[in-house]
Amino acid sequence: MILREESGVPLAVTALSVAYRDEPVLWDVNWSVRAGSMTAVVGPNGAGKTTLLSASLGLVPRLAGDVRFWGQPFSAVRDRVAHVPQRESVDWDFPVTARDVVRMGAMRGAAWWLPGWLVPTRAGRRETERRVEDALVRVDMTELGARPIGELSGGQQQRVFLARALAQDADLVILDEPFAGVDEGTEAVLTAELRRLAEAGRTVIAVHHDLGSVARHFDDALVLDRTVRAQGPAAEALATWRGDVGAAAAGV
Amino acid sequence: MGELVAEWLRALSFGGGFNTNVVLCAAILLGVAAGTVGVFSMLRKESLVADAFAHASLAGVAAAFLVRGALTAEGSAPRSMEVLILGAGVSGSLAVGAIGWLTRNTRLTADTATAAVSSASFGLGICLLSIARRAGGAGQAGLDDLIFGSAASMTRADAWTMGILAALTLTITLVASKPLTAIAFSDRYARTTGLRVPAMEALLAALVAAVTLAGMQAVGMLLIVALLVIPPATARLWARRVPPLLALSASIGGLSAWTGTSLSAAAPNAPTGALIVLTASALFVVSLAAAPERGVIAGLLRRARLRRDANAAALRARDARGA
Repeated sequence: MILREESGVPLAVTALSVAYRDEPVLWDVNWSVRAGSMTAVVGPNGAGKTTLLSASLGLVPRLAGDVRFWGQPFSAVRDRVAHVPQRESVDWDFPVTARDVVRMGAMRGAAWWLPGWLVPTRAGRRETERRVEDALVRVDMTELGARPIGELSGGQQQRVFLARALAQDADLVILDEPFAGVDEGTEAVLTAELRRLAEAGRTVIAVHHDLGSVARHFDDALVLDRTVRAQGPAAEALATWRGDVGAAAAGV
Repeated sequence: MGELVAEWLRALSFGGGFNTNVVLCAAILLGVAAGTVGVFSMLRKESLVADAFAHASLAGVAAAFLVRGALTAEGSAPRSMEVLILGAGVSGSLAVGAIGWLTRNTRLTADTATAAVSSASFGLGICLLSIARRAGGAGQAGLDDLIFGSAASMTRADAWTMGILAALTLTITLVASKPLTAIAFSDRYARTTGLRVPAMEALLAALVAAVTLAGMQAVGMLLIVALLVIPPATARLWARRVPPLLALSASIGGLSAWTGTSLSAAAPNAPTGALIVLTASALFVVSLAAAPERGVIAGLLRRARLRRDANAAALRARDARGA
C-alpha cells in the first residue's frame, strides 16, 4: 500500500522532465517550495518556466518525474491550488463580465458545474456572491465588476484574474507573469495582495521576467534554464546563478 | 398574393391543421435547440465543425441508400428515412473524428484540417450520390428531402422524432451549460477544476451531431448548419454575457423556424430550410446594422462623434494660440 502522507511542502517537483513531441523542454528538474513563501520562477526566454507550472498542474503531459502538492497528487488537492494564467492565453472577446470571472473561483468545489437553476440552496448562492464581492474589493475592482473583460485595461484584467484566485480561497496561488505589461497602480495592488496571502500562511509562486525586482518582491527564487540553475533565498539564488554564468564565461 | 399571406398567417398562428401544427412545433423546438447548442460551438470557435459534419453526411446518406437498395427486395423499398439518417450520422462522425485526429497529431491547423476533410468527404458524397441516382429505384425523393429539406414531406412520426430529439438535445445542453461554458472560455482552467475536457468536447460534438441529424429532413443537411451558426452570431451582437446570449440565440432560432416553416406550409413546394435560414439571416442583417455596441451604425456614429470632438479640440487649440 502506498502511503499518501500529507506533508507541509506545498509543491515538490522530483526528477521532472517534459518534452513537446521529441523536443526536451525541461530536464531533470528538482524543486521544492517553502510553505508561506513568495517564490519567483525566473530564467531566460524559452527556459521552460511556463511549462514547469503547466506540467505541475497536469496541463502538459510529463515525460518522467513526479509532482506533489502537500505530498499528494494534484488531482487530490486541486481546489486548494489557484492558477492565474498568462494574459495572452485568455480569450478577451468572451462574453463574460469581470464579476463572472471572479465567480468561477468562488464556485469551486463539489457542484460548480450545476446550472444555477439546479443549485438548491439560497444560502450557498449568497455565500458565493459574498466571496465574489470580497475578492473584487481586495483588488479595487468593485465599480468595474459589470464590465465585459475585453473592455478592461491590461492591469485591470490582471486584477480580475487575481480576484478569481482570491475568491477560490486557495492555499497555493500560481501566477504566470502577473506583472507583465501592467501599470504601476496594479503592480502595487498585486504585490500587496500577494504579500498578504503569504503573511496569512498561503504560498505564492510566480513566473517573473524582471530579474532586477526579484529580490524586492519575492522571498525565494528558482532560476530555471531547462533544468535548475539555482534555488533558495532570492538574492542568493540569483548570485549563485550569476556566479555560474560568470565562471562559465571566464572559462571560455 | 393576399391569399398567400392569409394562408401564412393561419399557419403561423397554429391554424393549419393538426399535422402542420405538429411539424411546426417540432421545427420550433429544433430551432431553439440549434440556437442553444450553436452558442457553444461559436464560443469554442468551432462553428465550422458542424459544417464539416453536414458536408460529410452526404456520403453516408448516399451509401446508406445504396446499401438499403441492395438489401431490400425489388419493389418493396421501404421509406425508412432512419437508415439514411443513420448513414449520415456515421459518416459525419467519422469526418469530425478525422478532423480531431489531424489537428492533434499533425502540424495542420484546425481550420485547414476542417476545410480539407469537409471538402474531401463532400467530394466522396457527390460521387456516391451520382451512383445512387443511376441505380435509381424507389425512394429517390427521400434523398432530395435530406439534402434540401422538406417539411412538407414529413410524416407525423418524423415530426415527433425530430421534436423529441431536439427537446432532448436542448435539455442536455442547458444542464451542461456551465461546463460547456468553462471549456469554451479556457480549457486549461477547466482542466484545473477537474473537468474531463475531452469528455465535454465529445459531448458538444454529439449535441451538434444530434441537432444536425434531427433537422436534416426538415431543413436539409447543408442548411441546418446555418441554424447552428446564424442565431448565435446574431445574439452575440446584442448580448454581453452567456445567459442572455443563450436565451436570445434560442429565441432567434425558434422564431426563424416558426416563420420559415409556416411560410413553407402556406406555399406548397416552398423550400422550408431555405425560408428558415433566410429569416434568420434577415434578423442577422438587421442586428448587424442596429445593435447598440457591436452594430455597424453605432460604430459609425461613435467614429463620427470622435472626429467632431477631435476637430473641435484642434479649433480650440488654434484659437488659444491666436489669442
